[in-house]
Amino acid sequence: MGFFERSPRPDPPHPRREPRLEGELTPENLARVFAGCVDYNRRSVAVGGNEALRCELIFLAGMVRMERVSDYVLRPLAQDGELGRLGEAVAWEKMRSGALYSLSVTERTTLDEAAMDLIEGNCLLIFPGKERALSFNTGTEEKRGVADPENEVSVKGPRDSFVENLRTNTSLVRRHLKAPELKITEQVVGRQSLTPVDLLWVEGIADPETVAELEKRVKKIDIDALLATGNLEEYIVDRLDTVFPMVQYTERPDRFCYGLCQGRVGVLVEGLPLGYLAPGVIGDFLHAPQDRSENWMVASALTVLRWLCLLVTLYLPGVYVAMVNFHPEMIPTRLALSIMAARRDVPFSALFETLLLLLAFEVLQEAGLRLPQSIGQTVSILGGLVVGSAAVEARLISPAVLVVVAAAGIAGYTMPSQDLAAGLRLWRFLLSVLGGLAGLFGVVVGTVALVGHLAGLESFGVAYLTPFAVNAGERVGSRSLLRQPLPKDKLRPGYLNTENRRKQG
Amino acid sequence: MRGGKWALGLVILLVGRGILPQSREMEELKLVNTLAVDGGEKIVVTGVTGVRAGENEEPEVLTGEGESLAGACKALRESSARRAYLGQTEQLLVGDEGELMETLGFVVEHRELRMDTLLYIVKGSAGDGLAASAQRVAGETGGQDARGRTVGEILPRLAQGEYALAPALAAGEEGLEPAGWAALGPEGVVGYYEGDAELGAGLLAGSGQEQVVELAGGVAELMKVKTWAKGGTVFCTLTARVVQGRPGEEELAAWGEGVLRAALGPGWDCWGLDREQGAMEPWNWDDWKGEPVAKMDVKVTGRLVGS
Repeated sequence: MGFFERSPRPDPPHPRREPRLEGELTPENLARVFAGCVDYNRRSVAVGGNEALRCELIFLAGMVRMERVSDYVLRPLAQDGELGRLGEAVAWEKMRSGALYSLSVTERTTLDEAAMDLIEGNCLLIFPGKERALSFNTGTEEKRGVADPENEVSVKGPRDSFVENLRTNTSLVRRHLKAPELKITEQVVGRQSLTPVDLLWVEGIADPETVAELEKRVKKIDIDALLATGNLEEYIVDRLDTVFPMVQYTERPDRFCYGLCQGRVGVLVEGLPLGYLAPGVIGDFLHAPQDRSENWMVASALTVLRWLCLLVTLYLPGVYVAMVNFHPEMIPTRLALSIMAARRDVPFSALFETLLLLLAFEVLQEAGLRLPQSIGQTVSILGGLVVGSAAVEARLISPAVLVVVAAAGIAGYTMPSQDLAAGLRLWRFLLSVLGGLAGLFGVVVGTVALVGHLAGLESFGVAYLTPFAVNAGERVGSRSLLRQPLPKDKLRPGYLNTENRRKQG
Repeated sequence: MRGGKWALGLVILLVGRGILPQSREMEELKLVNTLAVDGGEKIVVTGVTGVRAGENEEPEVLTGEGESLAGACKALRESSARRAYLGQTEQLLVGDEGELMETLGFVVEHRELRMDTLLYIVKGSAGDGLAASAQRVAGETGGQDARGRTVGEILPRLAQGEYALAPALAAGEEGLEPAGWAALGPEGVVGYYEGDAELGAGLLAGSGQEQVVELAGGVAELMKVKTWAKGGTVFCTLTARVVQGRPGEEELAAWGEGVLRAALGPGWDCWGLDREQGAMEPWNWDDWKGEPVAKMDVKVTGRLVGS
């Protein structure tokens, strides 16, 4: 039985309760639902000063903006004498049609809807004995401001980045893509978090099948809370038995919008300061956002460099171990002598030494990430330079393997996608073990396994090895590998199966 | 990661069953720098280790004897406590009684030996000469030797039944010393170029630069040598720098003509002159194929600079 396979005992049932809250929509039932919640507030108001016509104003403190409730709901409600002179039914209609100042007002008739509105930051107005409520949008708009992207630094281009607020993010997209064909649909995911998840695409460009498939996959997500990226990613990708990313993420709206214009489908999630683009293929993860801002030849050269770095980070430790342990004849004589001299006093085998250092590299990286930035840098310097050179001087490791592992590690940092880099790091371990066990034969077996694995992957029907794979008989070729001059790049990628392939005149 | 699990499983299975070669740590190897092969009743191989700069080891001479070259190499490996490794062999010395083609074939087939190993022909016993000059063999005949010819360069010519040129060594007072060129044929060493023929062979092989030429009018140092063959004639342009006296260009040309004729005299085409002529006139390819070089005319132009 595999490590991640289910136990033979069936999972207990997990029914979704509909409706979620039982009972009529009354202030008493709402009070029961929010019993024990200190932020639950209820205030009785005499409409227009008429004590005979009272209503209940209900809201959650902190979720509403108090000025809005006071100025636009409470003040006209209490001071508009005309409202007080009307009958309850007429006053209700007046309030619903604009007597109270709010951008949106909705009539709610179920306890579920009313409770959700309160959580959203609405305030509810209920006449006692009537099983309905008016819900006014008075939510607070406290949020982090749009700032520079932290992980996708922009040298020559827009400097805005997604934030945690979904509406801000959709507005950022709308500002970049003003076309009314930009469609945004929303679904709510998470039984407890009730997180809004928006799907974005450009109608007339994106493949409707991809849109439908993504909608279906998001709809199928039935979890407690969508709080982390994995809560979405792992539910919408085609396969889970891979370490390679199957959807692309970005924190830059311009990159996100470029993906939408290419024909991809985007996903934005409340609470996550990033956007997803599907499908994601290996070629996409090797392109950096600034590629389109640079000269096409420079961008192409950098892309080729990244591919070379991909090979270096993946193969260098494995090939080193294989050559040292099995094929010393492949090493130039002077280098062989240098390696031999350096390894003479090292107590560990080349394989163990390499794995040890690869592991130390991962530990160092993890420690640097988890600590505050200033301490993280200190750890990196201490670990990388001081401990590294001390280990070499103490003959615990040889300088050659230190250089090999450091070169592989640095080459991995050139990957624009950290997810891809993480996948490569895991395979690097495997290839090193195979190289240490069986030399270049092992490395070749590992390569065959890797290529076989990648060839078997698909992201929303697109071969993962694109641009090296053929999709529906159409080769992508170097057009995706190397950047063409933009005036000559007239077509959208064929593998995205877009409705309209021409993207410029 | 399913593919990774299969790959790991397959390799562990093969390693467990002993199908794959065993790994060995590099620092446990003793790198053979020069390997000498001698024929006779039994094949004897002699290897020298620890002579390279930076190796920090005392030079050691290892010897192995066997019915075959593989057997002799196995015996050589077993003669040292640490495994003698042939993969970094830079020079291969073959005694003039050694089985040349068998040795070259062994280099091709052996997993460790490399095609870029420099080949030398030793007059007499290669092993004895190597043992006598173990201390200085690397310095004298290291990978920087301008005369060097690799196995990869020589073998294809011999395999096609043509002649090839290899530097020759002979035992001297301080061990092995350069001793002209050896002409190699498919059947082994067919002869040597010595004296003027050695100089001529060097010019034809394009390695005559820095040769000091003593002429009647003075001394000149060759700077540039260009030779080509066309229509049954070997053309040569010698550009030299005057070092001493006032040598004439005609003198230089006459000297060149003399040494080239001496090299062509024996009739071994070690330079592919027939191919070169054929390439110049492909419509007459058959005429030039196998053309005896001894009959070729020689025309030399001498140029002196700095006079």
